[in-house]
Amino acid sequence: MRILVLAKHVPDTTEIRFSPTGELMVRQAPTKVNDYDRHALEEASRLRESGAEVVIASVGPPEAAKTMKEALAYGADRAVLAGGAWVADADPEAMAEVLAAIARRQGPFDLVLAGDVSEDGYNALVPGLLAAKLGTPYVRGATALGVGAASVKVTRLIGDVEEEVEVALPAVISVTRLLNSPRVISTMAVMKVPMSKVETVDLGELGLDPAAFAPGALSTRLSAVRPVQSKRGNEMLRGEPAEIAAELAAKLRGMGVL
Amino acid sequence: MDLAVVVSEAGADAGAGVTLARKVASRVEHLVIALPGGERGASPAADARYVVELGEAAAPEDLAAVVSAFAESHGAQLVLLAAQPIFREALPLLAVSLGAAAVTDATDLASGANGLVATRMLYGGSALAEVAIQRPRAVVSHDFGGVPADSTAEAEPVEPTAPSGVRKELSRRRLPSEASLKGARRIVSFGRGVRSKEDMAMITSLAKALDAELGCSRPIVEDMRWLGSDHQVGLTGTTVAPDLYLAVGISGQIQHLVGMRDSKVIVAVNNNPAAPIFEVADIGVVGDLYQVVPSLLEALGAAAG
Amino acid sequence: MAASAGPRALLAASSPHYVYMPGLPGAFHWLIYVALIVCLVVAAWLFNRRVRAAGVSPAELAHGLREIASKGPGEALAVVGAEVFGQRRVRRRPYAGLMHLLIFGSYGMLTLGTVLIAVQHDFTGRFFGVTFLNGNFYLVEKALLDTAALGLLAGVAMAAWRRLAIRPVTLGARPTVVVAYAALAVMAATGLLLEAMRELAYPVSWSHWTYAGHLVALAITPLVGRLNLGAYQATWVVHVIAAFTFMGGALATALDHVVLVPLNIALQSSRAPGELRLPFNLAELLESGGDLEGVSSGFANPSELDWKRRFMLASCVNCGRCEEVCPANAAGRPLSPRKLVQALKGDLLSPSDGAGDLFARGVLDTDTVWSCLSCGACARECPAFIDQPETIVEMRRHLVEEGNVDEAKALVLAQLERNQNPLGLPSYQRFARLAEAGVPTIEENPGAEYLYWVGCMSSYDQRAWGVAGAVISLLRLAGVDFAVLGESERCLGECQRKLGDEAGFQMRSMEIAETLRSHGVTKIVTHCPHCLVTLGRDYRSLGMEFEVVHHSELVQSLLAQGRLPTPKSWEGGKLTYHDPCNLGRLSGVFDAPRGLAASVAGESFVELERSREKSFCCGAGGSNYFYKVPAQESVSGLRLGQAQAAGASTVATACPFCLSMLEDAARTAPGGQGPRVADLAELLAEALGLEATAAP
Repeated sequence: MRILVLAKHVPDTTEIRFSPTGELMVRQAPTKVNDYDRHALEEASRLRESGAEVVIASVGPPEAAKTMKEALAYGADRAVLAGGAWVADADPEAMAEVLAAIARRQGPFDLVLAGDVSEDGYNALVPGLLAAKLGTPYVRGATALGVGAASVKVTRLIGDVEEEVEVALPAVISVTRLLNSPRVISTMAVMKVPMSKVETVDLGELGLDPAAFAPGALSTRLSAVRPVQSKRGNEMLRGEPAEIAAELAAKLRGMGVL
Repeated sequence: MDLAVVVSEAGADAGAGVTLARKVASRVEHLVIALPGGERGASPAADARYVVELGEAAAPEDLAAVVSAFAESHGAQLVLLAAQPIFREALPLLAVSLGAAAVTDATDLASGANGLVATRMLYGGSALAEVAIQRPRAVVSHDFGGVPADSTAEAEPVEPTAPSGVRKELSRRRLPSEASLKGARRIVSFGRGVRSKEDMAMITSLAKALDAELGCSRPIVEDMRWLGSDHQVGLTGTTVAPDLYLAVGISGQIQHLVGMRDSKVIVAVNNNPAAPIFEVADIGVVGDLYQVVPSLLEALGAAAG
Repeated sequence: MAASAGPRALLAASSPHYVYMPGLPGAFHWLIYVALIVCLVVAAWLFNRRVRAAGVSPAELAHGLREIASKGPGEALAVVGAEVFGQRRVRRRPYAGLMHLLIFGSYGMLTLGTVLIAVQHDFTGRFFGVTFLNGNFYLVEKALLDTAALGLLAGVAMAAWRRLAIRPVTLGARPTVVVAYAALAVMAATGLLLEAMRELAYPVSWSHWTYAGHLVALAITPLVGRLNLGAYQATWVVHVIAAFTFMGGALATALDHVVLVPLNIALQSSRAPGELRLPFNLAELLESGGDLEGVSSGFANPSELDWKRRFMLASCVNCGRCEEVCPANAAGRPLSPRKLVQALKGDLLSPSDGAGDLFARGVLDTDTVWSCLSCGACARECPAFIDQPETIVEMRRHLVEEGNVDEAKALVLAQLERNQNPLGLPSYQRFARLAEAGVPTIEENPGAEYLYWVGCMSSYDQRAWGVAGAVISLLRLAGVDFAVLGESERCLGECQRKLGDEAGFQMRSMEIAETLRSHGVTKIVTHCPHCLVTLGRDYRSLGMEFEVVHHSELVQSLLAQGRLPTPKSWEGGKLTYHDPCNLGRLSGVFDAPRGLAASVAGESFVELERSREKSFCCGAGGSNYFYKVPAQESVSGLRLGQAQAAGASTVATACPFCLSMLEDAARTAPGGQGPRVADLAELLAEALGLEATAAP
């Protein structure tokens, strides 16, 4: 069995902030493997223990090579990182296109695993777009997986309904954080992964036309980013208990949380 | 833009979707996905209303196929999907089949100089991004359809496409609803301000009145042992992010705060105006919880009745 | 020869002197030497078997000792002297200490007495005609030896009483030791009996000096009348057999500690309390471009440990003192340092079946190693110098390397990487409160005398911020020139190290040391003992030298210099001081905080029963602030209870973690409001009317 795992290099969202002049400061933020993808990596690594070959695919800047080492530390055979100047503007559709090219060139793969979403963009699009481009079934939100020789059984939770579905392989499955508990990757474990396990490729090597990845040619483009005022209200209510209680109830209703 | 199609499940009010679509399209059609013979839902202010019946276990592939065919035949430039699980799964498939740009969880739509512009959250909600659509068509999801409606207004039926058979359903069961802090929409949490185990009853009634889960701070579990550790919110307990977090008699040790800081709305009740919990609260109530909680119960009860 | 001299000749002697083996055939003299040689051979064989069972070769051991000798054996000798001959740690328990002293001291004296005889008879007397067991010296010696024989009997009786009647729960079961004790008792009893018999046969004028033997003689005279030579010689044989049985056989029993423990003390003597040895030096590894493939830390099984650590485990006497002082054990957590070391020792000597690491094989449970508070109480108490906390961290290192830790611990490690603090709060918020308080950064005040290392707790926790606010007010009042790192301050990695991510810790230390050096920082003051130990001792072990002082030390010296006024009055009732483990036991800072407490509360200061070296952890040590382990009670609750029992209405501490834990416990104290918990700096600032100066 050959498994492709999508693992994204993302900035840590808890460290992203806007400068006093309103500029988004992403560069300074530490980067890491997308937490959701860690569950896919963990699952793949467990399948590898029973003989599967695991390849990691990613789209990212040159620094992502370090992140790939972390992803490899979960237990995978190698990683393919597609990069180039175009990455800065790539939208989910462009990423899916590149990942599909990797899947075809390095394939065939029986199973593609990924996290449901990435922490930075939270688009939840790439695995589904990839499935559509590869023409394979797509199941999202896996809380448990049963990988067979020709099919995969996926358990998922939709509201309070738990369902189990089965699709034929090859298939793309995106997973939730309920799937498993990813192992801790120690600093030493990352340092021990040789850089030679990370193969970097550009669009040309994947047989893709760079012109299609120019900012103007993409399906979407980020045109502006502005801060969300997330500071707490810190509104203090004092006075007669009955009055404050009524005021509080009214406020909560107004906020739509009741 | 000439035409937008709003797609939602039956039994849900698509009003917010239609309103949003109307901002950018001159004509808005509503396509209702319904169970065979089931409820149809409302389509306020839509210019036309269609219904397609799909089985309960319909695969997203089937949904994508029928919506794609509908959008194609009607010539819609925008397909606005309700942000519900089945639509989330179908959205990328639909986008590829229509050759459309895909945007999820848009909070707003606007017509820009070069076409449609969607607004959405980025980086865990710390930033808002404007996404310019550079394709003639777009498939967008938006959070609407939360309020059920009972309209049985007429709708034109749409034939579903032949089932793809890609997916085989093996089992489907409703899980017993089980008290769980993780994923709870509302949490009422209490700490050492509650003086005795008997007084917990007051907090439990408040949780019940708010349809909330019961949480607590570390001392309640570790020192007082009034509740099991599955109720403990905080660094050494559960990390939660409900819509409403109501902290009663919790002073707000950092230990506790880091476990609930992602809650949408935080309300704190404490008699000490200097309690650290007020620093992270949206609304702080300075007062004796033994007076505030009964009053709040009354205020909520009055509203319900 | 003296043995052939008749009784009358003895009586005729003008002054007291030693008579060699009276009434015994001359061949016995040589038999003793033969027996001694056999006994030493047996002991050597047993010793060899003993250490080899632990996977240590005598050659390694010899090499280790030579290494100590070549580095200058002064320290090792001093420590061994204090611990073995001074019984420093053993004495801490009144009953067990007295028992041990009686057996050890008496046996030592009796052995010495026997050696002196051999020296006089077979060396100085034989070759030089010089005798020294004469006159008053001889009389005193005899009286002392009689005392030692009684002491040995008393010691063995105490041991028997302890095992049969007291039965302390922490005392491990050691059946073989009974044989050794019996041999000692027989040796001492027959010794006295022989003395008595000799007195009957060969009366001397100074027999009252051998008072114990004399009393026995008085007691047996009515029974036996006069000496039966056969019975006398038989008793002698029993006496000698008992003595050599003990000497030769002790190593086969739990009394092997008489050899193992002094050696282990010598091997471990250069260790600082709480020190964690470096499994590797990452900076050196990276610089040499070496292959990291074989590099690892921690141990999966005790057999993988280096020989010194294996020898250390093998030295455990199972005495239970560690268990008695362990706060985790007291709180009903699944940890007893004694059982832990015994389990590892047992597995080392005879590995249990099964595959995988010691956790997979059921030797220990992971909860056991996570229960440890790294407070160092056990190691400080251990008379055998076993380092339980380091052993535990080494097992944690293994678990982290295997990725075998639960989500709570994984989250702490992840947050440390991402946010540079274990709480997971944004790194850029670290400086917010300090900026508001107008504290200059090192960029703004580059020549500052002190860099104030604020630490994560006070940077993020509003309550702990009160400590920083007080320290800032005091430093300002005293006119101390200081600055902070601001946003570039980050966790020093204490929790990372205690959780077992050694490489991550070392990586971090290099980055932080670089930041500090780039600002030319040499002197650092911190109010967090965890930072103190990490930046002071741990970074130094990696070759990064900074002079770090705790705020209690700096403030105390400011008070002493008169740069801070002494507060006038105290109305906080009885004030006690809780020694934070990292400040007291692990850094040796005991007096400065007490001086501070005394200047604040004067006569109202009361000591806790468990204070100074004996302090009891607050429950946060060893990263326990950040995760939960199963327990019957909370450690912080137990500690607060101790303060309440001392009648304290204010509990002062000097660590933000202790503050947080104890204050939490005070809120839940039985009977309503517990004592007030505050940092010493807060109390002093408040007494000087400074409390609002810096706290925004």
